[in-house]
Amino acid sequence: MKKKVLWIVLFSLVLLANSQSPAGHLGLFHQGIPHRPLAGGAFVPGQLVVKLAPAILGHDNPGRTGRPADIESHPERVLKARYRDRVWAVDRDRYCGYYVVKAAAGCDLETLRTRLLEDPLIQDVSYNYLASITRQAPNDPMFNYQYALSNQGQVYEPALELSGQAGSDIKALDGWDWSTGSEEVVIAVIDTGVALDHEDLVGKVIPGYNFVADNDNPYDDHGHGTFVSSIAAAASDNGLGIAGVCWKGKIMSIKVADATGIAPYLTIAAGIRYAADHGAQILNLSMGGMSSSFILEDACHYAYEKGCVIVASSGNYGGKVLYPAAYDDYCLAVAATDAHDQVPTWSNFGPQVDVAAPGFFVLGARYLPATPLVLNAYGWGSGTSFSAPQVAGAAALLIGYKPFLTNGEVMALIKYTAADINADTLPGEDDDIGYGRLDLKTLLAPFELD
Amino acid sequence: MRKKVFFLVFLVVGAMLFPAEPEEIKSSDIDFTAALRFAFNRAKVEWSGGGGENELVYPYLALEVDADILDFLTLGVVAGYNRNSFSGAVDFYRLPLSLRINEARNTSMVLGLNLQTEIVSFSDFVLKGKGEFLYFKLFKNEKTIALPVIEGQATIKNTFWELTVDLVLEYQGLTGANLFFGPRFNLIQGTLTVGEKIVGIDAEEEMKFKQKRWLDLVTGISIDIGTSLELKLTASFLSKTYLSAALCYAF
Repeated sequence: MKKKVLWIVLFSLVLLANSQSPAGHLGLFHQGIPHRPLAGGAFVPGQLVVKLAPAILGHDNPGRTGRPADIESHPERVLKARYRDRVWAVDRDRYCGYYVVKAAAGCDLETLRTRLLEDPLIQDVSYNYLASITRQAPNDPMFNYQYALSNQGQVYEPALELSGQAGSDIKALDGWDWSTGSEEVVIAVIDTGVALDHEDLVGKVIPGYNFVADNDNPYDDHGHGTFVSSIAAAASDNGLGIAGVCWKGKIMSIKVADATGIAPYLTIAAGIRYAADHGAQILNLSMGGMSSSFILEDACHYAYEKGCVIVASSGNYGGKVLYPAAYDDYCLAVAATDAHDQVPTWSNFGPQVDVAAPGFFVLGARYLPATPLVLNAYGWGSGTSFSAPQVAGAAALLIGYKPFLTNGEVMALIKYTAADINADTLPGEDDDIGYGRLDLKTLLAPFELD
Repeated sequence: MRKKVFFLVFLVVGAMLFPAEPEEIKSSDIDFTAALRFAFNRAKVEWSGGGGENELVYPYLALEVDADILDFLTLGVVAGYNRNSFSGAVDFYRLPLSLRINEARNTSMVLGLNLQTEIVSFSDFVLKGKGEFLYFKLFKNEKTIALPVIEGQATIKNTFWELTVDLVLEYQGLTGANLFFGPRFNLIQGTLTVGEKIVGIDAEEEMKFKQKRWLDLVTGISIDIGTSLELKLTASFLSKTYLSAALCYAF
């Protein structure tokens, strides 16, 4: 009996030793990523780098414990002896000649650093800071005017000399460190059409539909849809014009509004259903009406059930939230902020507002149908129409990064990670900006657990 | 590399099954030894899916009871506590909201079994084999995900096991102390799981890890203290940093 048990135990040990790691079956998981950005001021834990005083090499300085010869030949021994209660190792870096002090477990690094700085043997002490590869900033020449994406307090409208407040942006640079989107993700811009030959939209637009003329040529005859599309997903880092929020996402042009910018609900509903049926994961509706109707609500319900993220502008007259944005169960209603993280008075408000994004003097691709010579122009526009595509672009970044998310999760995360910029006056969710101003850093970068 | 490992394992197992000296008639008395073992471990582990590596640090304090179950075989049972942590950050990207754990420290139980045998002896040298399996029990730790307006909850769970097979040559020619040295096969495998619960979001991500290098050299010394006590110091540095001190009492 004993022998049998012994055999089983030994056999198990051999099996365990030879077994393949189950890790091999989980190729989808990934972590570590050495090329990711590092938290500000990050340094190698438990390490300080010491630069000895120049005089040490030429003078004997026995210190408290070291013999004179040690200081010239083995400063690391002297250092270790002096701080043995706080240091478990001191090594010389063979490339730079500095000394790496490894703190003992439980030793407060800043206290140790202060003590080391007081030592006459030592000229300077530094944390062994960590660096990462430079973040991705697009090379689009007008990026500097896109305060909505990155606000450093720069002048963003030179003619009027408008400048903003640093940090009043959607933290696009931080977000792009984690995702610039995916070509598999499609944003349906349900609007006036798109000028697909605008230099910053070439190659970005996939076939859609023109519900105004009932044909498959959804070209823009107004300019609004082109502007909106460029904010969401202009060709980025291409040395031309502006950057879109989502660099790699595609635009599906669904033309539902005519040359005057007016669209019947039934036409909008047809556009919503078409986009949902033809593979768009995100629907952007920078439009709205004051009345609720089952026509729009049913269409939104249909698209939501199909897995679409629906983003809609709240409206620009300082009143109640327009429809379809006000369909809270299906839509993300987007209000506007400005370059100082203030809410413009014209931004519609109400309990349906979910989130806000810059909508005051936002730079976009301009297309004036009557003047084809300015096809490749850019200009500034204001309104929640231009806030919504930033949220649509953010949804595209997130879906491109994490395609396994449901539409409900995407919408929830966009809300929950928004910055509560008016927490001083209206803490928590409020009618002006909902959960807060869109924040791509919090949305895409890992949340650090203490 | 893998062939070498298999060879080493089979060599030890084979030696355990076919001892140099024939099995004698078993005595009805079983000899017991109790040991208090402290071990410091620091091992480089790599994550599944080619996702980088971290260091797993896990000192533990355990009580070990060994019994000579056969003339040529000793069975040991180990139980104690360990405190483990990963150096640096571990990121979880397959959660709706990516989470990063920074040097999470956790305490949990360690349980284990080991088998030891003397394979062959010649002059003052003895060739010994030892296989040990340690299981580091699951711990569960909850953290708050404090978002600007709402709060969520993150649950961190970690469990891992370690298999060690030693083949050491012990020199018993000194009075009151024995020196030993030999190859060691060492493998750690585990799972770190993080769950997140935020309003309307409930997800979990599991990441597997295993030790990066499996082969090592182990060395140490056993020092007799009086007639029944022995202090055993062991170290290895190649596949992981392992420093152990065990105070053994033979009944």
